[in-house]
Amino acid sequence: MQAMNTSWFNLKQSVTEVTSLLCITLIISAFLGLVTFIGLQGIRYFIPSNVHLVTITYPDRDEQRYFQQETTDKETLLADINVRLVQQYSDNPAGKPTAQVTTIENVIEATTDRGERLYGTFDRLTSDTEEKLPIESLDNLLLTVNLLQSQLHDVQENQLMPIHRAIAILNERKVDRDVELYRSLKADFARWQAYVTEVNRRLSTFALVMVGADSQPIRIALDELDKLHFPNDLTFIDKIAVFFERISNFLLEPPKQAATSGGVFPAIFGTVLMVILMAVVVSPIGVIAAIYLYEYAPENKTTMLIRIGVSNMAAVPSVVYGVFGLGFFVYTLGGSIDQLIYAEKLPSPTFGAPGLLWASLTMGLLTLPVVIVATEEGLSRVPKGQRQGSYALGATKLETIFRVVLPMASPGILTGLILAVARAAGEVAPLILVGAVKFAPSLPVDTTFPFLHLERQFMHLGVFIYDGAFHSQIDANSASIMFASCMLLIFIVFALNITAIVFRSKLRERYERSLL
Amino acid sequence: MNYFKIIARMSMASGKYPRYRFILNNVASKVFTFFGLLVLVTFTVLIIHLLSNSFPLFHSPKINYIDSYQDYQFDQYIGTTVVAGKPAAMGIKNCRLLNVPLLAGDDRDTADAIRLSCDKQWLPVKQLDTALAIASIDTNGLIEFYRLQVSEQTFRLQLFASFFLPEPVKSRTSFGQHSQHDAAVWSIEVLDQHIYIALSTENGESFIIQKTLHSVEAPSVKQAGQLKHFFPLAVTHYSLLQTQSTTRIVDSANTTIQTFNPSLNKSVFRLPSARGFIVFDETSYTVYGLFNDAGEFKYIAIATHQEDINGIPASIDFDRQTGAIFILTDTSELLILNPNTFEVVYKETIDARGQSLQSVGDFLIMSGQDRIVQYQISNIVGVATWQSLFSPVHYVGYEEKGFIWQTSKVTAYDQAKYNVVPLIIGSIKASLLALVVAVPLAAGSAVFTAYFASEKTRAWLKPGIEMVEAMPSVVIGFVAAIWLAPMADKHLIAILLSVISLPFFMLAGVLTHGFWSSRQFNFRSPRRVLFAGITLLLILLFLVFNLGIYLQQVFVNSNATWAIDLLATTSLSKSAIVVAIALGIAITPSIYSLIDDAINEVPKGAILASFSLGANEVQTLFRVVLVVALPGILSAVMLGFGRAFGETMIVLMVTGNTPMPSWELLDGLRSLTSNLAIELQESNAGSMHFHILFFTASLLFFFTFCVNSLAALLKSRLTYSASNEH
Repeated sequence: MQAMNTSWFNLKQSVTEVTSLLCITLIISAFLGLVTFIGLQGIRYFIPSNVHLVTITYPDRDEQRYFQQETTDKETLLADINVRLVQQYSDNPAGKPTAQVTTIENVIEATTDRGERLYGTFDRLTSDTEEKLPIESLDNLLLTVNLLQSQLHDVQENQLMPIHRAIAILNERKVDRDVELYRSLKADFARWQAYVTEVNRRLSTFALVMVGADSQPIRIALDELDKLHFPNDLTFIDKIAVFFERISNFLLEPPKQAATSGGVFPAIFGTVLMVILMAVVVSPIGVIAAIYLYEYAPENKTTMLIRIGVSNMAAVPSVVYGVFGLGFFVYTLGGSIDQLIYAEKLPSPTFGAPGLLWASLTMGLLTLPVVIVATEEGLSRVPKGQRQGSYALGATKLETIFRVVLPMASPGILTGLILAVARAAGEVAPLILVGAVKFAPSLPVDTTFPFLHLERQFMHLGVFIYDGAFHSQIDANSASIMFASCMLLIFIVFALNITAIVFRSKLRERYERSLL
Repeated sequence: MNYFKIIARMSMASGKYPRYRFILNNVASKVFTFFGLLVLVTFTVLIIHLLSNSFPLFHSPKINYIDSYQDYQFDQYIGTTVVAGKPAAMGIKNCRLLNVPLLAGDDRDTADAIRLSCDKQWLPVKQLDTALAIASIDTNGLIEFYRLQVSEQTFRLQLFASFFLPEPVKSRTSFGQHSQHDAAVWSIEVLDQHIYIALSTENGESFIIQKTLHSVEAPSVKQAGQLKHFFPLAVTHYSLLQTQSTTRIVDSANTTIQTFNPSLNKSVFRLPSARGFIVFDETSYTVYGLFNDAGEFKYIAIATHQEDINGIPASIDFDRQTGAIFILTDTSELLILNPNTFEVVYKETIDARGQSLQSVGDFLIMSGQDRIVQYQISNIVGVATWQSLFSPVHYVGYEEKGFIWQTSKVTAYDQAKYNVVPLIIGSIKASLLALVVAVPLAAGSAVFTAYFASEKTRAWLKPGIEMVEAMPSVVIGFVAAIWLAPMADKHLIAILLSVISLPFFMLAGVLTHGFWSSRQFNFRSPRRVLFAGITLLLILLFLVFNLGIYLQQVFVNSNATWAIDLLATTSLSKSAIVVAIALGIAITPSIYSLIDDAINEVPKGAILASFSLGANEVQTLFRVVLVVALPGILSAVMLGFGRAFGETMIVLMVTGNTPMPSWELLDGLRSLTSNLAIELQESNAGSMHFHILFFTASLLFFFTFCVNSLAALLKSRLTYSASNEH
């Protein structure tokens, strides 16, 4: 009886333990799997992969040939294509074509300035003098093209522009068209214009001609050529170079080809700028409010109300902040500003439309409780003795706070700020409503006065990802730029969070040391 | 801290500026207080702004008298239209089409007048939109239709149809005698690319003429006896005829589709959407709506309301923005009805013995024989009622009552339907399902780290799991939308198999527990077991998943009917199940962290006492630890529910965003949050849609507010009971 009981207990014990272990295993594997999956899919965007020639032979029509770039080897690609064909022709197995995948050497991957990627085998290079040049002369030709382009630029800048200006001035002064000066300017203009036309004509003769998969020639003008690779013939070192080049392009270039290639620079820039503005707004308010709550606030109903407010603001769904931001900041505040200052531009709104300023303010509101709570925690870690010591030395409360308490609590404040920044960087729902867009034509910062354009809409990394998933027709294979963006976003958010944890543990250490 | 420095600085300061220091101190304390109160003010502004944008919905609309105009007596009043942003009455006087601005204090000079031919008879033409149209009939029986085109200050008549009146009508009436009032009553209307003319001649005969626009076909004529009421109905080209004895609906070939019993023969008005009509009795009114019964169109009663109406309804119009229905009785009682439920939301007797009522922008224009009275409507969004927002409503075009959220109009006749129940159901369904996934996972993990695992393990495991709480939800939503949903659809059987096999793995783990506990695998070193567990589980799941893919292939190839049926009928990709998984995983870490804290806060003494009484670990867990921690666990679950309820991105990206009032697992959903993200930017500020969206935002706010307060209350009970345990 006793033995049975024990084994029953053992069984119950092991059921409980194993179940709880399984739960934690599931959570950890889910998140590790998520991060790994995003990492693997995202890295694919940077890894130079092989280009395969796929030939699909139909029983009843001409064969179809195309180049496909895949990280996998050709056997896997062939298997994938076959699976797809089987599904596609499940109604009509007789009509199912056969596929063939070959990897040929010397495939060129040419990227144009517009972000277009073209594949083909080398046919010839053309220049203004020669019709058929070998690939080795590419560098020389590119040099010539660059030279011509700089000449063109030079002429336009130093010759044509002054003539334009001079003619404009003469026109303004209503100088007669038959004056000698006017005529000589005209003649100069015609001469330089002819030169420019000639250079342009010469430039257009420089081209790379490739043979596409369908045996049709593909002609790319050399002045439009951005990058040229031989993806199937890269050595390991070349591959590493291409890998890093792509990473830098991803970080520094705008999206191209409907956000399927290029980079995410405007999104990173927009995110960072929004977060900085938010921090500028939220940190003083949050820190001072926390100091009030911890150091000054009397134990009364008002303080209780403030605390209820802070704890509830932390739990308000983020999209409600977006609703508030749109209704209050954009329509109410922005609308009033427009009526006061930009009345002449109405009805087209300046500040009465979603924009950077309102987005930062909305996010500031959203992250205010985070800053307050973290700062309060930091303040609470400063031992009472420190304050009493300071008072004993005759310092006022203000002096105690600024010279004793705040320096000791600063890691707590920083923690709060960093957590707020991490939250703002990852939050999307309110931003959709108050100013983040999938594509902003211009950055919020430029060289025209007032340099920082707070009313402009901006791009945000999270919104970019959301849009990629929600509006574009993509699947897991073609979405690698989105996965790369996810990877970047996770990296930023986690890096900030880890920094916050490090700061927090530093604060604890300092507190413990000061106790000694 | 360097105290010497402080002392040095302070003594310096106190020596030089003692007063200054204290003034500064006082000022600073005021500044700090100001910022503390600023937080409270911000919170209050947030609440007030949300509420103040939702309140107009629950205020009744208001009607304010503006002015009445008697000095312009038109021979024929055409209607009121908007000219340069202001309402202007259009009428014919002395063969001229005049426009009279209708705003108090405005210059009443008619700047523009269009000269009309005096040889013709001019008549107003009704249309569903606010644009005005007129028709002319000459002595030969040629009838011509003009649209009035208004651009800024100028007017133009544009001919859009003309034909000769068909024979029986032509010979029995005299036309075009503009000056002498003939007794014939004309009612001309353009609807759905058809022109309808109802004509009652002086000798009591009635004709209905119907003509298709832009067609060369001759107009059709039917005789209608003593016509009391006639109006065309939309979509089907049917029309309603009410004579002294019957009320019936006929199609364009004059075939009777539906007859109503004579007791309905009170006063009948068409709905603004032209897809139904209202029948008024003395004490009640009934609304009939079009319903497509498997290809057969008929009109069914959709709403009956008891209402004492003073007088007989004489005129009807509707607000173009909200669809609110205005009804004016012959004893000057004005009623405003909700466009979906047809409840009376406003009833008042006004000073306007007008005959016809027209709604133009924010104004109501009552025009009678001798004068035009203008009223301003404010807060028209107040036609929304609790019933229209929360109760099942029988909408026009539907067979029975239902909950529908449909804010965009497909055609001009559609009425936007704002019933928030589908959204609330969507939100609750998504968050409850997410809890079903998250709570067991979180609770199990919390039991492991807070109870079974050593302090050392907990020290790295807990912050690790808490950190993934910061994972941006857009990333989880993205992966769920791009990878999980399509995969769930593609490998249905594999997923089902993996889910079913999980408990078996657990059982296997339990049964081999003795082997684990042996000396080689010391169970008390959980880190090692954890990694072993993860690896083993992943490998097993991977194998089972691949087995599932293989089996699906086998079933499909062997044409197993059940497998093909299952695959054909079940689509997981836009269903609530995928949301549950994604959202559940997203909220697990935060629930876990709170439950872990709750378990950890259970006094160690209670656990030790339980052990010393001879209870083993599991008994202590279930009878002591979880019981004491229960309020904390419940509060964690509530907070998790609140968090899932407020989560936007995952629900937005993963579900199909179809607002369905269904609790089915395989149906899609649209939550309150994702609805805001989708629709708020598209709604016009100040419109009914805008206010209702703010109302849903307030609902979200107060829901999370309540959940939070409840959780806090539970939590304080935990601390209370725990402190009592001491």
